[in-house]
Amino acid sequence: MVGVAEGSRHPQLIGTTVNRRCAGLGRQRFTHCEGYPMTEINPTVAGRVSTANRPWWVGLPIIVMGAIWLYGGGSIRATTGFIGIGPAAIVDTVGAALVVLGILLVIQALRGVPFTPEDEEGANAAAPPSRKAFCLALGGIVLPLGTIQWLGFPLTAMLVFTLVTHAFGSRRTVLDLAIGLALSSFSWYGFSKLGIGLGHFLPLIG
Amino acid sequence: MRRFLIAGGLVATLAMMSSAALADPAKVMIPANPGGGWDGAGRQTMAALEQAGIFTEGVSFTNKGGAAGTIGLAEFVRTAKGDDNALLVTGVIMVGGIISNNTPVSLKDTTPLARLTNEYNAIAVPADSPIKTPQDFLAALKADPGALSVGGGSAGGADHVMLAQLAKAAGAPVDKINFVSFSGGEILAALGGGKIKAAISGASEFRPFAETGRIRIIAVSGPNRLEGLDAPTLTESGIPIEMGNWRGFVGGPDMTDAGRTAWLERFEKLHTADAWKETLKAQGWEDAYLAGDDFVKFIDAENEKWSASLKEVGILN
Amino acid sequence: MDILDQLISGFSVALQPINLFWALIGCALGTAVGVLPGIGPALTIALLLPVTAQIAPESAFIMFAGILYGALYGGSTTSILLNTPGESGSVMTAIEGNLMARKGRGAAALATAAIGSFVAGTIGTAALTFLAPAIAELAFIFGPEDYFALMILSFTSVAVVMGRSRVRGFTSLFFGLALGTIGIDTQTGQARMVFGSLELLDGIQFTVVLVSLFAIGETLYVASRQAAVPKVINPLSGGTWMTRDDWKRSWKPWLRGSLIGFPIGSLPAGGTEVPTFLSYTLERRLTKHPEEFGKGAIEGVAGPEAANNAAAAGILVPLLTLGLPSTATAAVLLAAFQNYGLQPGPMLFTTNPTLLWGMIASLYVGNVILLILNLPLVGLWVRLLMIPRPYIYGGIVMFAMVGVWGISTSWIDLLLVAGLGLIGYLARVYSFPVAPALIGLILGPQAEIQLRRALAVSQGDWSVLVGTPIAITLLVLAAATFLLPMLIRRLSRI
Repeated sequence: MVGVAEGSRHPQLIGTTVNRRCAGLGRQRFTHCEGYPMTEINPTVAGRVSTANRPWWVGLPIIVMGAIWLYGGGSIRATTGFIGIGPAAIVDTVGAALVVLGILLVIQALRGVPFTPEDEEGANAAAPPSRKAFCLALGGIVLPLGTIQWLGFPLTAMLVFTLVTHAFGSRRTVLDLAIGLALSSFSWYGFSKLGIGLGHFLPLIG
Repeated sequence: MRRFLIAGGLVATLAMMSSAALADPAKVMIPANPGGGWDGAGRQTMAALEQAGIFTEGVSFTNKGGAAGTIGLAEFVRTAKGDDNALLVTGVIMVGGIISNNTPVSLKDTTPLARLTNEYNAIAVPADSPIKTPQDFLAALKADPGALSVGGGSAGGADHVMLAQLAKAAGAPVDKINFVSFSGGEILAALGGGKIKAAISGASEFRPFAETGRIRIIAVSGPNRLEGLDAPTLTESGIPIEMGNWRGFVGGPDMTDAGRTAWLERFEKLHTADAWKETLKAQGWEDAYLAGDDFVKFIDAENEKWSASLKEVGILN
Repeated sequence: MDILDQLISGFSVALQPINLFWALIGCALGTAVGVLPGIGPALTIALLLPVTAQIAPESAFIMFAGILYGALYGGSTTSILLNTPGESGSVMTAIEGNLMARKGRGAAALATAAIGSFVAGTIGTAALTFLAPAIAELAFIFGPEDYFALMILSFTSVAVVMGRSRVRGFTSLFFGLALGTIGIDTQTGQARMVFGSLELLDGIQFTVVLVSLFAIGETLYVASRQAAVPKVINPLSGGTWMTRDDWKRSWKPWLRGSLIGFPIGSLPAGGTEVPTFLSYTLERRLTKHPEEFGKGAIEGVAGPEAANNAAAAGILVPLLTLGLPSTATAAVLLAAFQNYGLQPGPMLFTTNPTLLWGMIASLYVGNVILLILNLPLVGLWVRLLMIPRPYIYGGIVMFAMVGVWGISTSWIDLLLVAGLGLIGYLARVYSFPVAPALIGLILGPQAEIQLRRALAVSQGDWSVLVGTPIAITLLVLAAATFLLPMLIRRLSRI
């Protein structure tokens, strides 16, 4: 915790917060969480912490990110004649805070603090996440990276639309492609009329 | 299902036709997001060209903002090769951006056409400030540069560089100046409320506040005084500094001579057209027409000036 | 009663059929752009400027006013129904609003948002009409240290938003703060954390993060967990309308939201987001039903929605009275005035009263139009949820793409959407709240700039931070928001 207070330029903002809250964290119960407000669907199996569910590694990317920011903060030149605090101060503060928070997350997870919204545990136990649907949806989100520069916006968006609908269980490929193309062409047309270019219709043919 | 397909196809063809229907439109790259100064410069200028009947083949705009316009510049150099109708909006901010970001492409990779507008800077102080003349300002700067907090746009921009030049003229250490960066209208509130001692920004931004007596403009940075404004130029006060926010157009990398001549003629016609005068008035831009080889020389001079100034203010090593 | 006379003559302009027509167009257009992520009122007005050069200035500004208010109404709809806010001011609405929708109370949430927006918009407009010159003076009183204190108050309020897992809430907040440090530092011109990428020099676009963490993360999560989600949420299972109890619980948050929103919105660096954070915190503190927060409490929708509409009226104060633009939208409106050869400011009230009072009157009219447009549509909007889920989410992802690609046509932005979308998904799986990340991204850079400005002006003297009564008051409030509940909890345990 000292790390936060030292690295921080706003002790009143960070230091106290983390300090106070973390004293009894291991035993804290999380009855709900705003971030994913996933409902009352299956509120049956309340708050059972399974030993398999200890994602200790969740904190690691946070620690890595904090380390990158600390490293980056160190390499910002501070040669200009600024007055007060320099451009690196906030970067260092944020980096240090992320490292500390990452370590706290690891500790929490190892102590068995639940990392799933309580309301959902029952639902999860009943239905494991569908890997196939997830991959299809992710495919739809990653696809534009490869295609937008040569297929252009309308066709790319059509494919994205179809992949996402299939992730959600649609099986009518041709219909989805058609709806996708209609929607994307309409957006493309409307936006170019407004004066925002979404790129060429088909960059391949110019 | 078939009906959907047909509908989709129809929309697609319609969309394609509408873009193909235009004969040989100009393709204008705006190196900023919609709504900013460059966006207005690009769109309003092309609208004036159309209104005056000088270029009526139609225009398509691409906005590509970021990094002081250098991202748009890189994209333009890559895509506009051999296209005589490809234009890029440019300006003083891009010159600075190319230097401070050390970009692999520069304005040398384009075909400069014309500088069209300029907006000169002004120095303003709170109404009750003891600083009354440009000389007072320099004296304050020399006495204690750190104590004179001067607001302006982003660091490394025209306002910052102008302050550095003023410090140099005053004989004050440039690395000790206290430049406070603002964006948007906050600078006016800070100056009017006396939170900062002085500010450097576009003259037109200050004028309404000066007219209501909240702030006082003590100098302008153009070659001439501004109409209806009782403030001296820096040059007539014995400080040889001119600093403005100019904007203009450049063409693609290998623009043919025919293409270059055609566009230079169009801009020359525009310069005298009534439609353009109305645009200048409505937008509050100053006419700063400078075309062809003179514009090329001007860009070179700007480059040198900025490289030196950015080193002085510590943005460049 | 001079103002009243002026206002009445303003209404005679705003109520002309042609101007009513433009107001209607503006409201409809505003609602549409509010729904789309990334495309806000500022961009819409900027793009319409050349088109509107042909119509009378009164009509144009009446339409712009409609767009300004309409965008706020539209923004709340997608937040509540789909958990995908289209504007930064709607982020807080999504938290409780979407929970209500999932319980089948979507109609009530939309209704309280619409009526709250109307109430706050009208109060804000009335305050603009009668108090503008006085409120505008606040602009000159607030200094960097006061803004910094205001940001600190917002940050401590965020602690409340985080729910009970402070560590995860803070992780999310600092993730957002970290993203906010990317780009060129405005104060010194140094590049920070750009990893050699030119595209990152301007920082990460807020829209990209908003779309990724909410829309994309949500899509990935729901896709992978369909079995756990009922096939169709019955949007009306909780009734079609606000109950008596809903009204009773909504009216005070509406008024409080308006009171917070208007003055902060009228500060040059206030914006529409800070009031929504503060209002949410306040409602959560004052509610008689604390157990419902985090499960869909109507106060959590009514307050922030009122706050952002009142703030929207607030941003017109410095614009119209001083000619001082405080947000991107205000800057575009200023450009619009100048396009017509008008300079907003004290002179405008004397040189062009028809236009100005016509516009102010049209704000009242626009609010009524929006209420009339939106209330009957509540039932229709809610039924949008009955569209088969594949098409809802296919559409969400496509419009997210339009918003991101349309603004920047930047490949890096698409990469960020994919990466941040995945993070948004993981955040849902491991129960991290995402709203604090957005708050960090919005407020972090502002807090930093104000702090450094204050220190630059004071030449490094830290005592400047408690140098004004406003700053001290705000910091004391911040400490109280944060420490009081903890003290009370500790005391009650003994």
